[in-house]
Amino acid sequence: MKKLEKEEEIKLIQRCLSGDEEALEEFVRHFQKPLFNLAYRLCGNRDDAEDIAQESLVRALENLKLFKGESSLFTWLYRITINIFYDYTRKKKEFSYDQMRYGEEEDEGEVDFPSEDTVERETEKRNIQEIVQGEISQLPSHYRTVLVLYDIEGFSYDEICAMLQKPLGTVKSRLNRARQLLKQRLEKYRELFEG
Amino acid sequence: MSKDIEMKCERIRELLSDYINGDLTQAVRSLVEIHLESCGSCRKELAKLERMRSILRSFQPVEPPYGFTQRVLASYRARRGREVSPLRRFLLGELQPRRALAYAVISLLLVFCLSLLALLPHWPKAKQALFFPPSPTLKRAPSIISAKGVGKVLILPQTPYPNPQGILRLEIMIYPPYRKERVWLNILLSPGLSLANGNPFLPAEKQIYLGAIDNPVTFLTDVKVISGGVQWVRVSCVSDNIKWAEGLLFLPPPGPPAHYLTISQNDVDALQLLATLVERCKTPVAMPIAISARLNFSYQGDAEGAIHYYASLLGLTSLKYNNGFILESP
Repeated sequence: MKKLEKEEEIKLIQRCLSGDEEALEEFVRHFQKPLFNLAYRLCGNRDDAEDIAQESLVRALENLKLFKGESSLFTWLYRITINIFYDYTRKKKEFSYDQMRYGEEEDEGEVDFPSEDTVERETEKRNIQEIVQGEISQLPSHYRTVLVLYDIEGFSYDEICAMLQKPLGTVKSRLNRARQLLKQRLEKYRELFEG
Repeated sequence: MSKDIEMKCERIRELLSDYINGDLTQAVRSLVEIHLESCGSCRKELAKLERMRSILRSFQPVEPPYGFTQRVLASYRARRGREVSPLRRFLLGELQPRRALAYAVISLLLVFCLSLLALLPHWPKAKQALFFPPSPTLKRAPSIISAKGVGKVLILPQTPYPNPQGILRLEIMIYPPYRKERVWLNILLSPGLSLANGNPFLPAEKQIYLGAIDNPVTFLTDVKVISGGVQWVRVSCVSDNIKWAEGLLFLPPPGPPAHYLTISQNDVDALQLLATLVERCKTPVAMPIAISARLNFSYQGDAEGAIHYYASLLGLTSLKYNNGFILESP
């Protein structure tokens, strides 16, 4: 995706605000892929990712007049997507026993590991990326977000701090904890670390 | 001693994430490296973290599903269409005072104009001028329950009789039984009628493409009465060459107010039944019966019972006997 210059961003926003249908489509086309990818990495399945990305873009268009340009448009959109993702996990948590195990603060809990036979069979079926993506989706949402933004999306600490509106220390400690938890979950797939 | 080593390893492992990110100061980094040189277990941990990071970095972007852009735009437009009305925002106190005042003035003007319009029908001269607003548009029809679960077309004259120019505005209500795609509306007029803006020498037929319909819609159209006698308007709804609803309206010629005969059955049988009714009523006179003011025929025997029977088959909505008895459909 070609990144928009600041001036191009402002022009596009102004056109969208004036109700220019072409600009609205341009806006959606420009940002849909990164937002869909972020949503997909966060929730781990395409259906939910589609809902989250769609809601993010619609909410962004609805609130475009509130965008003051204090951060980049991209950061602002990512922030919207992340907030919608948090809402989504909160709603899902109400129905999901798995998520409930992490407790109120979404702190890490001990993980029930399946038997080795099951793991081997599963490994045959799914490729490495699918396995890792599946395990990421099991992490508490706050850890998951930092891990996805830093290790998959490749954002800097500054950008992540702006998206999450959290201090650097929090971001770093969450990243550290997220990696530890993910490594712990991946230990059962021995060939992952042997290959 | 081994406990000390374990504690040290634990401390070093906490730093490994920052170590691979390059976030440690030179001094701490050197300490970690010295430990790693002598500790195989921590080196293994580091290798795992690095392997995990390389897997995460190798993730390829995925494409949004087909049609995603259009779904987002449709959802945005739908939600924009449901935006809170200025009146509600005003009542909720969300509107700026200046804008609220502007809306209030506009609303008052609107109320004034609407009350004028309401008074106008009682003003004979104005009645004619008001008679025909411009071109027809589709709008939502009042909802009715279709007992049979089939499509329905109702044709209702907007005024009891044509205006002095012989033009009558009809409201056509279309009730799809469920979502219907590629809908064509066919309007067919009897030879004595023409489309108000059409050529009277051309066949009085009109096809209008409505596209997909999933809710009842109404449609306004004007017809011109160009010759005497009872005239009719037939409207059918067709999707992919299959007719799924039809409505029929009989019109009296221009003149004094008269009763209308409306058939809302949705097939040709309705016409045939009416023809039968007319035929049977032509047999020796026992009691004259007037239908639609000008259509006079008679029926021997239990006229009222026969009319009730046929009326129920035909779905007649109003029928008047000469003696003033009005039959109302159930």
